[in-house]
Amino acid sequence: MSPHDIHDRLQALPPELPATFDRFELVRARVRRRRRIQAACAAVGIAAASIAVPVALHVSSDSLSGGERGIDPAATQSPSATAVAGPPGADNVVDLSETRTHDGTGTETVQLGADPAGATAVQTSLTCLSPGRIHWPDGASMTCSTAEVPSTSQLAVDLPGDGDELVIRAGPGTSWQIETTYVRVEATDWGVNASGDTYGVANDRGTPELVAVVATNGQEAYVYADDLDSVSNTAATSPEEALEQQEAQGDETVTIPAYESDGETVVGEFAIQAGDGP
Amino acid sequence: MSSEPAGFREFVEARSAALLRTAWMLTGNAATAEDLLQTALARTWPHWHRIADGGHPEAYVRKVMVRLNSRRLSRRWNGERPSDGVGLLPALDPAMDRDDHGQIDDRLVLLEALTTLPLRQRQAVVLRYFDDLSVDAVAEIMNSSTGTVKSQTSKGLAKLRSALAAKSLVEQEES
Repeated sequence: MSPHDIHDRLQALPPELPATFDRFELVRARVRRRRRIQAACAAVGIAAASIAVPVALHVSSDSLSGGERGIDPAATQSPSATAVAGPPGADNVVDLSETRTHDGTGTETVQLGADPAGATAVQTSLTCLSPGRIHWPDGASMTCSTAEVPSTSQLAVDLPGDGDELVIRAGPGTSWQIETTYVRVEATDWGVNASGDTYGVANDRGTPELVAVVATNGQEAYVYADDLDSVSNTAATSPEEALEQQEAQGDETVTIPAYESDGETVVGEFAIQAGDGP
Repeated sequence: MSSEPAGFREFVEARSAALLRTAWMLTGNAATAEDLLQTALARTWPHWHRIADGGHPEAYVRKVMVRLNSRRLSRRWNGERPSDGVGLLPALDPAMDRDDHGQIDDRLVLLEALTTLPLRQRQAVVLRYFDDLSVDAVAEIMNSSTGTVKSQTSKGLAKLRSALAAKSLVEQEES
């Protein structure tokens, strides 16, 4: 049997796969969720400098600046509308309301309270208190095994269009706790240095020439996106993705120069795992 | 809130059908293929302006799909679940399972053989003989040398031929 025969048989193999929905909008939704998860990761400070990942999106508010958001039901944070400047191009997420806590089991409706003026999203921090899968209203979900209880995931969701409440779906025996805060998400522009190169963090508009990172020496810096791509075409843009790539790509570590925003002054180096994939 | 990079929507609309077929060949499952494609496109979005400028966006998406699928198979899948509409996609056409005489259909034999190939062999065969890519292009996507691509392709083809030949022998015995 010739390669040509194999080719023809392979071509006939896939069944009809009709596109009966708007795939682009589904992809757009994934991009938004991904960005929000990255923003939430930045907010709780799990971007460990030891793995030197690119800086994700910046979340700022007075209530967050003191450290992690816990799951203490008694903890009530004060509303704030003060944004602290983050890396250029990052979203600033500003708290506009007090944080509310709701304990639930199975599918329940969470009351958010009245939305303040200017709110564009609801920042959520969802903790599984027993094994199972829990779904946010926009389709995102988290799954906890027995060993992973309790685990917390953060996600900003769109303002509910049909009232001041969110429906969290879970199996009948799955217990969870959610903290909700109305927030305002503000996009910022990338910087442009004297060479005309953009610098900042990746966002909806794409990736700047110089991508914000935390260098191995702990210093905030920038690396050229082309250098990142030369190491891995799917360079990490979040702590979780960096960890995934570390696991997937083995032990080889490649370092690339890290610069100030001028793209010329070297201030350290950025380490990234590289390899041939799993 | 989510402005779209110029040309990306058109690319998705124009090339998704072909990319989805490749994803199906890599995964063998319609829902998983759709999830893989959407994830790859979402990973491509932030880099679009540079990828599009380079002139090979489809190769980039294929590369991301190959890598994501490798990760999916190598450990527990932590990605998103298939989105709206995915459940409507068809499974393998039942009519292709058996022909009118109850004999095993070539395509099912080929699918089963493809499914049992080691991951790298399956990637090489799909990219070379389904997507009609050159050895160099496949090497770029698989992050391998051209020699590795040739050897992986050769081994994979040999197993597919063997499976089809065995099926032919069975039919001859039964006729």
